[in-house]
Amino acid sequence: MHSDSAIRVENLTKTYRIFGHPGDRIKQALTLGRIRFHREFTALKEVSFDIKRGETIGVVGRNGSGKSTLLQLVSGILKPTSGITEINGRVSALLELGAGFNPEFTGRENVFFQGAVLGISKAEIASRFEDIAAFADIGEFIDQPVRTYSSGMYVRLAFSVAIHVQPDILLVDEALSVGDVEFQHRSMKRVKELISAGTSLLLVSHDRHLITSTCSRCILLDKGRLVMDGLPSDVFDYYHALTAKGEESPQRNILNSGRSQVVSGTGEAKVKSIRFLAKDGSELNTLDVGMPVTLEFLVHIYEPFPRLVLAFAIRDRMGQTIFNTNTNCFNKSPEGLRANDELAFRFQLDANFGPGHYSISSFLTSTNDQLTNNYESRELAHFFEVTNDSRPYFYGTAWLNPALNVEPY
Amino acid sequence: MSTTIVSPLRIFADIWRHRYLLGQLIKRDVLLRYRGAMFGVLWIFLSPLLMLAIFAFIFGQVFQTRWPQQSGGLPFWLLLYSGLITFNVFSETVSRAPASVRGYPSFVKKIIFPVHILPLVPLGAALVHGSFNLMILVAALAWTGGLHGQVLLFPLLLLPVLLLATGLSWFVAAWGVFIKDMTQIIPVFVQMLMFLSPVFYPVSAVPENLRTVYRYNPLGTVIEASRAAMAGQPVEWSAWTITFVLCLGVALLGYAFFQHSREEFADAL
Repeated sequence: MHSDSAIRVENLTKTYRIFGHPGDRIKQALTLGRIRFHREFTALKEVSFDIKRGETIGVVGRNGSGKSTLLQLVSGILKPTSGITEINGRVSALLELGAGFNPEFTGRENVFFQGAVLGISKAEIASRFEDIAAFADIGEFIDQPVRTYSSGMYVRLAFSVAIHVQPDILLVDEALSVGDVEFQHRSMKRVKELISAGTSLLLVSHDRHLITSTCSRCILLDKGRLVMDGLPSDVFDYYHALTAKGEESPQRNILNSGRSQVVSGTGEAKVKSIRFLAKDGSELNTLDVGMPVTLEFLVHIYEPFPRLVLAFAIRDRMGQTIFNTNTNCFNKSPEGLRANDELAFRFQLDANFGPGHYSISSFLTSTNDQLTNNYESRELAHFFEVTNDSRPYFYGTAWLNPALNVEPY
Repeated sequence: MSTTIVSPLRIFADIWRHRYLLGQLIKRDVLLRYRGAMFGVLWIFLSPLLMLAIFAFIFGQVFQTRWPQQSGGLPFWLLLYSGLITFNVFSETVSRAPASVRGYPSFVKKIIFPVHILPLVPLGAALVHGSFNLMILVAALAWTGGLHGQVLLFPLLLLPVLLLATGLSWFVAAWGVFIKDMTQIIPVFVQMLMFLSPVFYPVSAVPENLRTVYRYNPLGTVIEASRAAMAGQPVEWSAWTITFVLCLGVALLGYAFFQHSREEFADAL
């Protein structure tokens, strides 16, 4: 026995049988499975890893890469098609907050019900009930039916139950980022206490900061395969490169985030690549706040035209433009363009952004506006992330490079 | 699946282990039905009482129906009612079974839950209603002067029907996950079964050559036995025992089938 490992997974494969029509399942059952009426979809393919007691692992990957399937397999909700899962200890899974809640029951009744689902005796839950209620901090709503709860209260109670049952293994699927800021901080603190007490954590999230600050290791899933297992920051760098590479192909206009990338224009010129370069010329996917970088656009000309203006906009997650400029503002718009010209536009700038995710949209035109001669406009052409590794803590989309003096006056 | 898993004692021990969960689910199921109604939970008591009153009026006063071989001189409406108690436990359970797992997708997909207790929830609810019906029956028997000590055997005599209903529920609940039509199909079959079981008539009224077929209907055996118990007549224990064994077999098969197919539940829901 691997007594020091909390989760051991070997060659884990999960194949779903997809029936086009419910009747097909009956037909297949009637032929005792001899005639196949289904397609197969492999959500997870030969995944192996080992998690020690007290280890915290982040799981990243694009939507549909098998992350949730992995958690469902580890928690025992799904049975693997082949492979082994070996679990040592009590598993508490937060796959969907409050999934087992009965809306018509009061919060108190649901706490006992959830406890029973996890196989905990009534007496044990009763002894912890005060802690659970205090942590959820929803006041007298604890004795109201949970259908009357706000989503925040729902989450607080569900989370409170999950972490108060002394789990040996805690599985969390993007659930930590709910609740208000105060609750998030308390949850994080409590999760870290559990970890130091020996609980293993498997955390699925897209939040780089959350994973790098919580997890000691990170695994990357892509198309159901485990493609990388290593330090969280390394895995995230690779993950970003992977997604960026995927978005270069012109056919892919619906992005993984579900947002649609709109590419339009007459096509005399096209942006071939957009990237950030460090001082030493290496490509960057993540920028540190305030670091000097070069933003490079490579443009290919397909048909001759007199004058080219390249404009770009940097937008935050909410789509608010935080910076927008073009070559005309620098009086550096090239003229007399011929077919098969290739131009590199390099903007030197300081990455004075706040930590977070940003997008770049590029526009190729002949004047300042995008309406006359729209050669190409490419929304959400490139994505990048900014992290704060070296500056004092701040919040917002801009870094103002402040200094502070405190003195008596 | 090894044979040890379908040992009846193990199944029972496993269900017993989850009794708190099961109790909570049944409690919710029963209470939810009457929530918001003006008389609330009082309806558990009121609706069978109204039913019995109508039976007494229609069959006792209007039709003045009597069976060919009247059992123990009890009025027809009481004999009918006793058969219906048994049949209703079966029909309420099995009719609701197709939705018993399908109705809780989050229990199947999002949390680790003993899914096999879900089909027992309608049975529990049916038993709650059944016990109220029985109380009313006992009260009516006392009132008409036909009360006999043997009526206490009623719950015991019901056992084969409970096993049959449980076994069929496990089957139907598993199918119901994959085929939504089960929620429509099953009630129709249950309705048909009501007329094919000796609820409105005694088996003795059935033509001789068909009577052997009736012997294989567990519902019929139990209804006849409980009717005999109520009327203070001797119960046919040999037939009852055979039925009990038969129903136990159905329950075990149902359980095995449910456990065999549950792996696919999460994929299908």
